[in-house]
Amino acid sequence: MPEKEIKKLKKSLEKERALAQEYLRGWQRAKADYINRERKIEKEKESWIKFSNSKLILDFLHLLDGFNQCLKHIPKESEGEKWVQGVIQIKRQFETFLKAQGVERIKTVGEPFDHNCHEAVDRIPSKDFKNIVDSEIQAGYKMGGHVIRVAKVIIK
Amino acid sequence: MSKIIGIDLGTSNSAAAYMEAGKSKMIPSAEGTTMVGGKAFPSCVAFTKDGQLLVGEPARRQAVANPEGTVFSAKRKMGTDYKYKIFDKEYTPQQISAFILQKIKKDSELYLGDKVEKAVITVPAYFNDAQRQATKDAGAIAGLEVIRLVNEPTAASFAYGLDKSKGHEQQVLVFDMGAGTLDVTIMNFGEGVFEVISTSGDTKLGGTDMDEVLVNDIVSSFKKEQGIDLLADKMAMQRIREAAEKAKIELSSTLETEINLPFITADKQGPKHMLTKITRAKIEELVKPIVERCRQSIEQAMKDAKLNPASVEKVVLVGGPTRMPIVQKFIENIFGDKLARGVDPMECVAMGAAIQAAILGGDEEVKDVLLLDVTPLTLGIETLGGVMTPLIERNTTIPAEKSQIFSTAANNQTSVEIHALQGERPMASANRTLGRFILDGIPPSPRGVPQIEVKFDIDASGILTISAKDKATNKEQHITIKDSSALSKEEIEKMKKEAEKFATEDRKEKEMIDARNKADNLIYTCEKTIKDAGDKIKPESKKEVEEKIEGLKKVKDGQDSEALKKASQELEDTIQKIGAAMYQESKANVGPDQSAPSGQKESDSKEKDSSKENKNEEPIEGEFEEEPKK
Repeated sequence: MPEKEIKKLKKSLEKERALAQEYLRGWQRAKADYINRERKIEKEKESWIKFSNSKLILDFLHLLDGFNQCLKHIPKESEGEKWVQGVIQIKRQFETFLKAQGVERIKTVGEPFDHNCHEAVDRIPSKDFKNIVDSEIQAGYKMGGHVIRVAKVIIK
Repeated sequence: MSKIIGIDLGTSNSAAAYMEAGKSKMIPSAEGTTMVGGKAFPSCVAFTKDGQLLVGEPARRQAVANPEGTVFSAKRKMGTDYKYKIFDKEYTPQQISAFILQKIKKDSELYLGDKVEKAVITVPAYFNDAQRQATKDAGAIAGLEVIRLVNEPTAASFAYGLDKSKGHEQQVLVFDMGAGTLDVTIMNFGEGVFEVISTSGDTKLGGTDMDEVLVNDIVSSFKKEQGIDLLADKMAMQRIREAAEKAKIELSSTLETEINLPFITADKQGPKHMLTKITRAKIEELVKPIVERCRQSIEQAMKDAKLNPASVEKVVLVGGPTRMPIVQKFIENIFGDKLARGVDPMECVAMGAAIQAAILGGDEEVKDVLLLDVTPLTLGIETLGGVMTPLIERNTTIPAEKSQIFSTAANNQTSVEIHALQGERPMASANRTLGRFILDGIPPSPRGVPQIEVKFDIDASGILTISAKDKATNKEQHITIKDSSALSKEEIEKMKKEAEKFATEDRKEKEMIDARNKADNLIYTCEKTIKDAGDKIKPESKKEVEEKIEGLKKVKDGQDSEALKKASQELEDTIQKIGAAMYQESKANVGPDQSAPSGQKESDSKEKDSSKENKNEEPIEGEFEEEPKK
């Protein structure tokens, strides 16, 4: 075989080899992308479940707000009644349920104001401003350490 | 290469987006306020007394506690000499904006897991040179290279893909109503460029005003009814505000909603509850004066642009309040049905900025060697009753392979015709034929027994191979179609549009055919049951079934779907009664013959399921026609 021909063939072999390498790399990358994507989907699924749970619980908190509001209005003369005691027990059931879901109430009254979990809706004007929570307007909650609803508070 | 992000630096709220796989996606703030949604970063900066810098949601939360240390709406002061004096230190509006951009940069890096060094930032169309320079400076202070400033209305138009509309020049009006500001911009679009012709607006008009009127109305009607003023009651007001916000959102999609706040307050007589219905008509009546105030800005913009409503070709809505039907109706009353739809109006500016960023950055994915195509239209085969059964859905990334098992429609059917189709319509005849072939030599057996595996295999260049294999004999036939994607873009669009247009009629027709197929199956099952049961059925029951079968046969091929459904139901009820009676009579004597009818019934219901879910395990019975249908 003439040298020229060999050179030509070698060159074309080199070219084909490079092409094959490129295809292999592309294929490997596609496969890796796929595997990574699958893994990411798994993770996303988990966080979606958590997220949708927290959404559900957020909606549920509104009902709890109403219920707590109701308990605040128990007439003095009825406080000792068995019937009222039963209703208070239902509240405990709610609280147990939330605890089981990893939901805890954010501490407010008397605590120093914390912008990470408190939202100030008003401030009691005073010369001696201490930046602590005076009263709670709406309860706040954390779920698994993350704030899912900030506590709305008045500060002094 | 790090991502270039798009930032909508707003007066009350800011937002950021990026491009991934050719789509723009929003970047959530680290606080991830899932409750409010929409724009994630309040444009708020605060310095606490103990020297902390807070930006975004945390800053907003403490604003009341620390008003002297908190800055809102720095955007309004951009390009001026104004200085914010906070605890003996001075800050320029650029610096304040830079804090917001820095926070967006940080949160984006956290979310994307990559460095973010470049950004496209949007500015109002009316911003002058000084204001634009100030915005650029803010970016630089934040450590972001601002590769371009884009006008907000232009970005919004990009998000709606208006830049892709070909042909003649057109006038676009962008109506941007935020929480506290209204901007109206008219642009001329031609040869890929948006040119601002006129701008107008109102710096003190927005969604907040709408919330206010609703809350005030709720409070004042409560006062009228109960004689108690809730304005001073912080807790009650908090609950009302939240309920009003929720009601407002709900009323964009429903006509009536309820505000239900038990134990809202109490007096000497005891607790008081709030329970009122709010209709869409009511909220529209309340916000109408606010919406009407927008008219002046629109008219001014059109007067300046020397245009009339008829010459505006597209209207783009931006901002949360434009989700309200009354706002959309108001715009439609002026311009007619020209609204661009399909993108969240609260996100479209940031998304448009992200699209610009990707274009300027030379999107990486485009450069990738391995370009994968998608099938533009659904591919499938014709099954019993002229129905198109899809195998590969449209927009599936190719190469792709999909197989499904079908069966025969008649007893002793020895051949099936595979009629391959392309298109989105549920009826085979309305779609495009790709090819046909016949698989024969199927051993004679009852309908539904043979298992024929049909496989669609489309390679990366769009060449489609369709094969059909009889699982009993392993006999196989196939064809290769080279031009499965030979349709022009226009043809594809036309086919998609037709599918949308005829969706309702097609569905009705398909329902009719499904009902007919079901009736066919039922008749076959019942006839088989009677035959198999022989004299185990009382003659009067047998007669009843036969009558019902005749009745069903009569209406089966008509067009009255109600009559067909009724006749099918009657027959089903009758045969079930007989089946039950037979079981009760001879519980001990249950042979395979007797279990056959109920088994058949079961597979009837499975057929419905599997045709919906395309499960491969169960053969789809009675799907093939005996005779090729033309």
